[in-house]
Amino acid sequence: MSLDKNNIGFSLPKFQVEVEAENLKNFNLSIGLPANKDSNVAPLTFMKVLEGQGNSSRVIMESLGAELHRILHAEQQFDYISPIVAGDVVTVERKVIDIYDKKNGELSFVVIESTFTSAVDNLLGRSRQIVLVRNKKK
Amino acid sequence: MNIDLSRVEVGELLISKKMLARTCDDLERYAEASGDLNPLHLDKEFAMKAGFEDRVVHGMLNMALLANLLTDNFAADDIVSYSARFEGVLLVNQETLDTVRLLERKKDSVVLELLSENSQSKSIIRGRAEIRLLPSQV
Repeated sequence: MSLDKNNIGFSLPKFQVEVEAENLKNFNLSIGLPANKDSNVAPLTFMKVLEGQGNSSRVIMESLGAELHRILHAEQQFDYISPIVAGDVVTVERKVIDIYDKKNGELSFVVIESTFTSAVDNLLGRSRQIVLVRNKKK
Repeated sequence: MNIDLSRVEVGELLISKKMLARTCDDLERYAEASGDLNPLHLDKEFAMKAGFEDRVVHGMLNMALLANLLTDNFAADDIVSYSARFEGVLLVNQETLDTVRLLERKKDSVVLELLSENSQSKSIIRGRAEIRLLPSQV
């Protein structure tokens, strides 16, 4: 069973998240960066953490009816427009922008895009993720 | 910032670094710091049910470690975008060899290809990053 293409456009309400210095420090340590190195600026993959603090990809995929043990993260892209720093309050909006199948529906691919904007509505960056679903055989 | 991009040829290897295996502790620390608690990364039985021999390293942890090669060598403000295709699965306790090459030269930026391979030279991540050039480097 492949995923319902009517879910293209699916989104959950946008949410706000504060970039906490302590979270940044712990994240930097977990990816092998020294805690003192530019620790107030979010590292390159941190948008993925921020988007997960509201509507995680797991929640979005479960909303589409995909079982957790069938999904894999296939691709990830980040566009950087302005640095995200500790203390920022960021608004995150996430949307399913495409769903397509390969291998006669054995695999489905779900494209989720997130936008990150500052408290004064400046675009800070974008994240785009492709999730692979290994569908149940018919 | 020890790589002068004005002097690099297309195809040239810029960085090559052997990366230590990620341990169960590393995966737990990353799970906690990132909020990605998918049992695929933390629970061996769950990972085996999903068809893997052991816990799978978070693709985003591998992507973050590969990104450290960028931020170690280029100013974060000059990094325009960074993307990754998760081409293979890295299991816990496996080393990688991470490399960065110049893929393309544009008018005022360059595109780098980042590659993370396991010890059998199988691709785990193939990434791309666009780096803005200073006027003096164009």
